[in-house]
Amino acid sequence: MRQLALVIFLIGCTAVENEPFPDPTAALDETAFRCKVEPILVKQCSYLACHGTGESALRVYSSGKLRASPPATNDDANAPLTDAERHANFTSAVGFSVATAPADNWLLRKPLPAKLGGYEHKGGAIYADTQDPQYAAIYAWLGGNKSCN
Amino acid sequence: MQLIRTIVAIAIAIAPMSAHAFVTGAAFDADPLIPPPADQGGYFPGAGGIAFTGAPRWSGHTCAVCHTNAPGHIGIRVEADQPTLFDEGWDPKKQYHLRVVLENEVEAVAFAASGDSCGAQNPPTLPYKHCDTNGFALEMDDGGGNPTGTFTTVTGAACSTAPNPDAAVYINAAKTAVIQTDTHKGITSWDFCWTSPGAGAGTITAYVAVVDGNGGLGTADVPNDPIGDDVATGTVPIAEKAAFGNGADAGGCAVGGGDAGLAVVVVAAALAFRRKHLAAVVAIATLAGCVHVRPRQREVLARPNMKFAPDPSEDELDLHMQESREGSSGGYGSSGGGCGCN
Repeated sequence: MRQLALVIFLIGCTAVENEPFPDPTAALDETAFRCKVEPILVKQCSYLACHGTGESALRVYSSGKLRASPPATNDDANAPLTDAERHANFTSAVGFSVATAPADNWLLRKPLPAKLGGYEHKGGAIYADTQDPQYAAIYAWLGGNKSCN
Repeated sequence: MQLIRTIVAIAIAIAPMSAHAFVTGAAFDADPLIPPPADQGGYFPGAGGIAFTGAPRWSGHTCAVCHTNAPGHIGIRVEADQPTLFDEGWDPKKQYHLRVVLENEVEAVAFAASGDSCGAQNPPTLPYKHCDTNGFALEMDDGGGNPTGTFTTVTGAACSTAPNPDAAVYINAAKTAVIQTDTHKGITSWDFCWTSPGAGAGTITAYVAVVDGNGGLGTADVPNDPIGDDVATGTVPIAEKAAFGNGADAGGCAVGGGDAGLAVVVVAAALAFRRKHLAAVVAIATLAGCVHVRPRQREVLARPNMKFAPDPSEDELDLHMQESREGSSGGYGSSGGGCGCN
């Protein structure tokens, strides 16, 4: 009887396939990131006590501050970002883009003034408001902008 | 010009860390990603126009965003050639010669005496000699958090708008802040001039941050970095002189003597009986007793024995019961006093 029950139970099982989660990097353009978004992140976020640390969820490499490889000299530290570092900045920023509308993306929402919905950003308000050119540039990129113009 | 040290105590820094390439003032204006021409220093990274002074427009950020884990030994002093600036306030459209002083320098202080005879750029000093490189950033903001007034550099002892390649102070491209130039080493004070805005700007706050650099690893390869430097930051509110006597910006007006209440009653009574001349005389006599109370004099007004309550002990007890009953505290007595700081 038990064997019969087990057979019936196993027959009831169906194969379950894991559907791959859409790759967020596919929807966001790295070229546009490099010309429109990365300069903002480097200028506003890359400081060593802020996002210029490997311990931060948003990790930003920049010349003179956090580098992918510990620099041996000041020249190494100050050298322009490598292609690998710029790609790493892109993937780090993309990590915040999963399944949210651009306006709810943490890159945009958290650094807003509290009265406009900003919250829990240790660095305080970075954008003056949603009309801030920096906000607009990141919003456009999250919305699929692929242009550097 | 002999600067008169009027002065302002500023808080000691709390934040930590260092930056690799922000030793020159121009670096604060350089693009963060696009290297400047080689004749302008090669590829030092830029700050894109940001000089973190601690001002609200930078969300209070200071040099400590990179110079982390500062030991907190140093302090800042701000001086002015006109002693009335800090205790009486600023006059409209007036030029002040100011000085930011790094106090109690600790890092690389042993190399300060070398002055400019250090670093790799000076072959006669080879082998490499440690540099004492320090820096600062200051801006003056109005009540709305916007930079106000204009900065000029100092040539010799005088304020000057003429280009001065030897100046120790750099005015950023936006003309909103002053920063060190790194033209000279071993510097612990920076002179510059600031011309106040027109009347009506209200209280202006100086936001200042200073870095006591430790010279990096003390090698030609790493002559500076953000590690191990000390940082101090502070704010100096400066009232508008014209606003004295008008309320919040000023020290206020204290009626002389102990009969102010009586005087008010006499004036009211005279008006009630339509004795206009008597009322005018009493009012004039009373108002003549009004004096401006300077910020440093508020200490006296803040003393417990200046309170109106006849029995301070009874007052304290009542306050304690009220706080216990309502679960709240504060909002009593007068503020101010202390060291004479604004």
